[in-house]
Parts: sequence; structure tokens; C-alpha cells
Amino acid sequence: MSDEPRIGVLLCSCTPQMRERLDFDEIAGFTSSIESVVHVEKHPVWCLAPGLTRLKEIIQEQEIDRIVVAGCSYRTHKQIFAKALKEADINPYLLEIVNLRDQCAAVHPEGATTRAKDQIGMAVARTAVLEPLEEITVPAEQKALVIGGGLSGLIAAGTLAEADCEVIVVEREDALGGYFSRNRQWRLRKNGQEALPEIIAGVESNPSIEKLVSSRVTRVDGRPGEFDITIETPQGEMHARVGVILVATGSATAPAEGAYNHDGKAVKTQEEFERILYSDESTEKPLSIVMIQCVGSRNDERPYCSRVCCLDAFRNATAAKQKWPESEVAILFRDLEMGCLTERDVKHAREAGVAFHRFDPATPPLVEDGKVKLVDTMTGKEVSIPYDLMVLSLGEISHEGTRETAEILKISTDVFGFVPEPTIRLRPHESTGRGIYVTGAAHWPITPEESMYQAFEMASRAATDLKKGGFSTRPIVAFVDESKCIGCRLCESMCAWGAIRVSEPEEGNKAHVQEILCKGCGTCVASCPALAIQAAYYSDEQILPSIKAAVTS
Amino acid sequence: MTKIVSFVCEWGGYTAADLAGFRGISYPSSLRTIRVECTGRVDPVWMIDAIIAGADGVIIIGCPEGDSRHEIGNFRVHERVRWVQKGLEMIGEEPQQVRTLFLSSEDAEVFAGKIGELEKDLESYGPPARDEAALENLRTLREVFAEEKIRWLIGRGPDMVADGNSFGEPVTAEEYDEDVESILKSEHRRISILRRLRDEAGSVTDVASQLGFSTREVMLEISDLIGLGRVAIKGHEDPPVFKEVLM
Repeated sequence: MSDEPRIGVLLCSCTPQMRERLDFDEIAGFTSSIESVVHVEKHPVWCLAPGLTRLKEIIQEQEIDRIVVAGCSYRTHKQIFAKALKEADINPYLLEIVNLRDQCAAVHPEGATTRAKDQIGMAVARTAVLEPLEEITVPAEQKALVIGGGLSGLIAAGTLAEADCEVIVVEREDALGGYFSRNRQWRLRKNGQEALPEIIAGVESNPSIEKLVSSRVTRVDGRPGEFDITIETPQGEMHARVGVILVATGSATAPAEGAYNHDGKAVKTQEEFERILYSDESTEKPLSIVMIQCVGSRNDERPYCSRVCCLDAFRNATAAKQKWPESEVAILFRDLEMGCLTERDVKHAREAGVAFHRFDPATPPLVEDGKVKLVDTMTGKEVSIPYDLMVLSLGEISHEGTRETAEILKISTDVFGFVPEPTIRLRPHESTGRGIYVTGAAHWPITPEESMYQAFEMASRAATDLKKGGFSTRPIVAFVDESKCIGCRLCESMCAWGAIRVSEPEEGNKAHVQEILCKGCGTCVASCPALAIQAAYYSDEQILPSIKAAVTS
Repeated sequence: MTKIVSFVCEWGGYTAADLAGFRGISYPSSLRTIRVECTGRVDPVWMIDAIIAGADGVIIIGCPEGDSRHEIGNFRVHERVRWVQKGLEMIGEEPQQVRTLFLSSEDAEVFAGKIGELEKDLESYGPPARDEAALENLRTLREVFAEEKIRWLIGRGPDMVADGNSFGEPVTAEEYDEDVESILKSEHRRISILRRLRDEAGSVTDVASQLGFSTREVMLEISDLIGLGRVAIKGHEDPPVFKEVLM
């Protein structure tokens, strides 16, 4: 590469509007006059094969070392031209794109040419000082940590082991299996109930999965691909290095907190009810069962719907009718969450003879003289149901393990302590940090089926990342001039990604960028009191020429 | 002709501009866009640089509040713009020539509408005075926004108002605003003096009369600057003259 930049400018004219509103002769004349531009060429479609072939030719002929494309959007076309540059042995970051089509011709019946000239001038001024950048890659330790040994965690661990990854499963309770093995087996379908012991046994007997029960992860350092973790086990503190972390810490059922004089006998939670319902030893035989939905949930304090409690009530009510055919079962509900319920659940419940009454949250069911009274909003009539067993559906809350883990991993939770998926519609099954994957009810109350799907999905993602051998990111990241850094730590508090850290005073008190985590947003750069941070591809030196060129003509 | 420089983030502003083109929604051709990764990258110094370079207006267009691709970048730039506006007002410039616009990439109509509105407003302000005195004021302001103290305050401010200052004392939004405003003023005075002493040495009385400050203000400022190692005595004649120490 010669010392002076040799810029080639490609003018594109694919739409009739561009040909009509842009004076390409004037633009070409202006562009050629800019110092550092060695070649300007117009082509109807640079981005298709003939154009790209021609591009490679002129790079050779004119010894061009950087390119400005004036045509379509940077968003849609940067990759096409970056690839072509790579093929022509030019660094793909020595490229800038001006959007003549959408940001000049299409929007300015008048003045499009003037703006086009300025925007090209701005791009050229910046391109002249762009620097080659290389993709950032870091190796990954071929080992995974799964936090939480419940359904989701076990399936994830099994899936990872199947993909030849070594796995450590950390479970805070004294046995694997989690929530469902201890109390809430009913929520799994029949095949799930049988499957769970099998899943547990599979993990137990798998030699590539290290099982740590009654243990907790207490500290995580390092970066994706090289997390240094500290685990507190009954045998003492343990250290390990893993490449990826899966969070499968689950959710928990909310406590009854004395609602409807809950006593565990005449007024039970769904969980307590299941102990008599699914037990062959229990001699209890209720004659009239009333289930109340949304107790303590969907209110101001906990406004969300827990989704799974309707499923619990339907399945338990149906099972109760089957076990005690002569007893009456009624479900009092506000709305039915049908997302978790299948047509089959509804059909079974109706066929079994379960009664349904809908109430208004403003007038919840009241208990008077051993009867539940409410106004059924479906019929408008007052209903009075005598009962000998009341069952409360309480909703789900985040597990304290989820909240603890999120804090240790520095991933954000919502106000309820769940770890939401980032922009769920655009990037489902992706966590906030690279190398960290969240699966199961740690996200949100979900059914065991959903939890299993997620575990497969997230484990596959984690395994894919591990098998690639490392993590990589584009080189648009922040970098620190240590001689200027004053260690004020403002950047640390600014970074939404935890990608910049100031070392301890004894280690120099300087900011360091963990490049693999840096998204290149530049918030730390523009905030740095000491002007010690710059952003690759968007440094001050690379933007100021554009600012100056914006107002020349 | 009016010139507007806009800093657009790749995900909100630039995408909205693309969509305006796709939908064929016209807006003034006075706009010149500079794409950045996130508006959090937009330095207060750039905003003033654009004005010095000749822009009549500067608009920073990023993602909507609470929905930035980079979490809080847009919130940070909003705070910077607030302070640049205060700085402009302090030196007698129209503060609204610098603005923010936060929109979703869907909002092509809003994008076009707001550019139109800005152009109209800028025309109503009339052509800005860009004589040497005004430019000198702007260059001084530019240096103020490159100063450690001001940048630190702007960066820390929102957290300070939310969580209290470094000593754990609560800080109200009004107190914080008052503090930054008074520091903006004193930094402006300090930078004016430094710029005056940059190319040519001067005495306290020279500087005071040329810049319109009291001799006491200038004397205090110069003794502070000597303490910081940014100004040194150049000649021991009577009165002594001082000059900026270039770093």
C-alpha cells in the first residue's frame, strides 16, 4: 500500500429516479476533483456480478486501495462490497457507502445532486483516513457450565454432552431433578413424569458431565470462551474454566401468604392438592372442590400472567373428577390462558364435568358460611358454591437462584427478577451476553414442554459456538490510550455491556476493553473526560473530516 | 442555503432515512448525514465542530428512549445535547440549533417531518452571526466541552441525581443543573484566558481588558492555572506576563 490513499469512487444508477434526479456528470466531475480520488466510474448496477468483476478490474488497473460506493444503503450493501474487497485483497473496512438512492434521489425532487456531491465528499474525506481492521476472535475452552440441575438444565447438559462437550452441572439442592422431581410432577404430562427419572439417570451416568449438588456458583470472571468460575461445594471451594455458561435456574411458585385463610387443609395450594390427588395412600376424599385462579397475581404488585396455573387447574380438576367421580369440581377464573392449554385439556375437563365460573377482578369470590359466592360474569347471575376443599392457583415468581445468578453474571433482569430475552421478536434464544445462554423458566413462567424445547435450542447454540472453536466479533470496538487514561471509571458506569473495566490501583488504574464484549457503540468514547478512548472505524479523526466536508459547497 | 448536519445511528436514524427514501417521503435537501454505530458515540465537541464548520443546525437522530440497540447510548447523548444547548445559550447562540430526535426505524414520516421543522426553525432564527468574535466564542466552547471536568459532570450527572454524589449525599436535578451551569461559566472564562495566552503572552490587566473580565477574576484564574501547570510566567517585567504551557 502506498502512503497516499488511492480512493476509487463507484457511482451507481440503478433506479430511473436516480438517473432523472441526479446529474451524474456533475457528480463525477466534482468527485474526480477531490484529492486522493484516483478513479471515478459509473455503472448501472455495481452490486451484481458484472459490476463486482469490473470493480476488481479497476482495483488492479488503478492500484486502488480503498473504495467509496455511492449507490444503495450502507445497511444492505456493506457486506456485498466488503466481500468483494476481501476477494481483491483489500481490507473490508477501507470502505464507505453513500446512499444515493434512498437518501438523495428518492427524497429530494430538488437539490439531490448538491446533496449527493456533499455526501460523497464527506465519505471520501473519511475514507482517506480509514484504517484496516481485523476481525476479533478469541479461543473457547471446550467446556460448558450449566447452572441449575432441573428439567431444562439436565436436558441442556445431556445435549451438550452428546455434542462431545464436557459439562459441569451445578445444582443448589441436594439432588438433581429440580422443581418437578420434588413437588410438581403433575405439570409434566404422563410421558414427562416417566421421562424425568430417565433424564436424571442419563445425566447421572454420563461420564462427561460433572455433577455438583448442594453447590453454588459464587463468582464468574473472564470473558466468553474463557470464564473462570468459582463454585462453592460441600467439599470446599472449586475453580474451573469454561467456554460457555447456560443459566437454567427456573422459577418458583408464589407463596400463598394466607390468601383465603390458606391453612394447607381445607384451603390448599395446587401443589398441596396434588399430594392428595396423585397419592395412592391419601385417604382424603373431598366432595366439593372449588379452584380459584389468579390468587395474588395479575394485580398491581405482580401484574403479569403466569400462564401455567390455568394448565395446572385444568389438569388437576380433570384428574380429580376422574379419581372421585361423585365429587363436584368448579374452576373460578378471570381469564383462561389458552397459550399453554391444548384443545385436549379443555375437552377432557368439560367431558369430565368440571364447572367453570368467570369473575370480575373488582369483585373476587367471597367466602361466607362455608360457601364461595361470586357473580358469574358469563351469566350475570350470583353463584353460591358449597365446598369442603378450596384450591388456590398462585402463579409463578422468579427463583431466587435466578436473581442471584443474574447478579453474578452481570446480566440484566426485569423488575420481577426474570431474565428477559433481548428483543424477543428479532433475536429469540439469544442472551444479553455472548457465551451466556438462558433457558427455561428463568426467562418467564413456561410449561415443561416449552422448557425442554428451549433447553435443546440453547444447548445447540452453545455447542455450535464452542465447536467453532471460539468467539468472534467485528473489529468496530473501543480502544484505550493508557497514557491518557486517568482511571476515573466513568466508562465503566457508562458501558451497557460490561465490556470496559478499570484495573485496580495496584494494577495501574487504567481502563481496559474486553473486545469480545464490546459492541462499538462509542458511548464510553464520547463520555471519556480525558479523551483517552477511541472507537475503531468511528474515531474522532475519521468523523471530523466528514463534518468539515459536510458544509463546504 | 441552510445546512443541517445530522448524526444518525445505524439502527434508528439511518434506517428511518432509508425508509423515507423507500416510501418516497420528501424532506429538505439541506440535510447531510453522518452515520455512527450509536448516537452514544456523538461527542459534544462534534456538535460544536459542525457549527464552527458552517452548519446552521445539528440534529442527532437515534433510537427511541428505552429501546436503543445499545441500551442507553441515546440517553447519554440526550444529556450531552442538553449541556451543549446551555453552553450555546451562554455565549449568545440559539440553543435550539442543536437538537435530538429519537425515533424508531419505522418512523420515516416523523424523520422527514422533523427535518422540515428544523429547517423552518433555522430559517426563522435568521442567518447566524459568524464573525470572528462569534467563531472565537464557539471555539472556546468547543474546548470547554473537551475539558475533563465538564465531561465528567455530564457523564456522572444522571447517576448522581439518581443515587447521590460520591459522598453519598443526595443531589437534586436542580442542584446538579446549577452546578454544571456555574462550572460551564467558569470553564468558559478559564478557556478564554488560556486561548488568549496561547499565541501571545499577556499580563493580567491586558487579558482582563481584552476579554472583559475583572482583573481580580483573571488573576485568580491565572494563579489556578499556574498551579495546574497550564500557564507559566514568561517575563518578570512590571506587570509580569503569562503564557499558556502547551502540553
